[in-house]
Amino acid sequence: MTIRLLLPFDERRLRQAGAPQVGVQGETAAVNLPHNAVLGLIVNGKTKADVLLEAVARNLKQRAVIADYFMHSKKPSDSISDSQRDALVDRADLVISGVGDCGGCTALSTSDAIRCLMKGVPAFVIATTKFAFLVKAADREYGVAGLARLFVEHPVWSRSDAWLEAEAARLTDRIVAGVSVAGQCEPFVSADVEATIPDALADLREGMSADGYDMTSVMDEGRLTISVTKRPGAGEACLIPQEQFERLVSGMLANKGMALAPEALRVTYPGA
Amino acid sequence: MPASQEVFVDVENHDAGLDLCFGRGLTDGLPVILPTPERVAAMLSATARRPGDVLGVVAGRAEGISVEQASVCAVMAGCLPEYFPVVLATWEAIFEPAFNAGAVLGSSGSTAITAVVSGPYAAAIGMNAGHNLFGPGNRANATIGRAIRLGVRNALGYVTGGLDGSAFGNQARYTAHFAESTPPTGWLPLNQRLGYPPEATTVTVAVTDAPRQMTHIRSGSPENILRMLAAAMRDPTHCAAGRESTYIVAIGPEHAQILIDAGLTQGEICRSLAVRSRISPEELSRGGVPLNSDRGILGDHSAVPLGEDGCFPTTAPERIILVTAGGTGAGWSQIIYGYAPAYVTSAITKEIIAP
Repeated sequence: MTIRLLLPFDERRLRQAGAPQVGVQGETAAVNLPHNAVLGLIVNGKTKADVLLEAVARNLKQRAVIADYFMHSKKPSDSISDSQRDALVDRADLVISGVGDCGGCTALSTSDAIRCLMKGVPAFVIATTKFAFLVKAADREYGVAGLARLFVEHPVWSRSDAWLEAEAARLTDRIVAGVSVAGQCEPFVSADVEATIPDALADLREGMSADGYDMTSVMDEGRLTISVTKRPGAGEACLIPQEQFERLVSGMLANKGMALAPEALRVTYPGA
Repeated sequence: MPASQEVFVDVENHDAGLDLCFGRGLTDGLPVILPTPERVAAMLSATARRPGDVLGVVAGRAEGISVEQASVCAVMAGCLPEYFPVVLATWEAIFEPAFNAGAVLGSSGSTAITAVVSGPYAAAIGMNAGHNLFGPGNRANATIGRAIRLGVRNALGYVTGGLDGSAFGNQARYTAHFAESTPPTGWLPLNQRLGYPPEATTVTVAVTDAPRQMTHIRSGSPENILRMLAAAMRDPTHCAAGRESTYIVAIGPEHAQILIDAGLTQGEICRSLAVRSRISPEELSRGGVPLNSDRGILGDHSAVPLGEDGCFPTTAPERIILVTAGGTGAGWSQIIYGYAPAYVTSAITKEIIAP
């Protein structure tokens, strides 16, 4: 006899009660900033999070991505309140939240960033690699398109000034790759997408290898570069045209939920 | 939960239903009672609240839980309908801002949700306040706490691989509800000390570690009992020491009698434990706790200031939830360590509205 079950999913009623609801989650983000943009840092109080985030802000200012920045400091265990969020997004054209390096603070830094994003302000969250899974989980919960996630090696609190400066420079490059000032929008690929690209293309790489061609993929400043090289003795008849190869790569990534803007893909091909 | 999750599912038989629950990660690893609409309706009959009422939303997050979701989880946990008012009151406590669910539920520190029920409704529904109250065997204790944990997993998304960052977990994360036993003459139950009338029943909910047993068998000395409890509370290897945390102190019958025979009130005991559990930076350091250059605790939850006595407060009198519990024996009590400083999370008390 069939048994009917009532499962504990009830988001219709939660939605009616005013819990936030938003669109479909995306894996790519493109950030468009006005001239004289202002950056809002949500510093979560973890040791040296302020040092790292402020170094990133200084770098962005030096590179004329932003004109100014301000810091909102909070405790690791706090969420920003609605009024704090509103004040932040009124003033900021871009928000960076972090640095998540524990269970609770990572989820809260992520949700802080997402809540700013939901008000229309582009947002980045920075966390340590150990807690990348919580950033993804918190992001997935909201289902918001466009949150950019950046990761640094765990931990941050014990790092030297030199390490922090170097990480800030690397993060700045990643952010610059994802933003443009006044309408020159660049494609941006988030860090966790980057990490999964080799797996997503594994079948293609194996197929190419069987035909005598090596295929490598490298991310650089938000762009994916795929290089195909011919091994000695490989038959040229086995190689599909470059245009067809590019469509194949884009299609495979899209099927894995990692659609790239055309400008984000570069292919180095034999004979090209 | 993702929008694509359907609410009603038809299965061929009981085993298929269990397979579905396991397959979708809806259980705590143990089998569940299948949540049929009839069982859920029976659970909902124990409250006047509407199924669609939202019990709360985690601050800063998109997720919360409705009365109906809570009832589904209660059915799955094995609750009887008369347990459901305790479940609902516990949820209301969890969603209080001072509980700070958004920060504590997903912590890598393996937090449990421990609750003590005080008042006549605990006995009316058969909760265990005596022998083996933290162990297996009592349906109310076992299933009420389990209903909460299943809700935390299924409705709020705190699962491994999701939002739960728990590094180790502990057994109290399966279930951790218990009842307070009737205190000896001269002491008051927790509900009355919190200002509720004797006929009211309350649930006090805290973010904790698992219980730890305190042994004190031979001396019969109240002084030694207090020393023992305080020594355990200020254990520098626990993150509660020196951080003004919440503690649940469950005093066993023998210890309670020794303390009351010495003329100590519960308030005096809490004040004494708060003083005796203060800990110096040097003692923390000897226990391996790193200090910063100002002799403060190195770390991100070290905002508790050093006192004039040169010590950090491990707790405060009002943050000690002192209850009598446990069965007769050689002389045991239990301490349940709180998880974090007062500015992170506080214990919350709610009155249980019996049907």
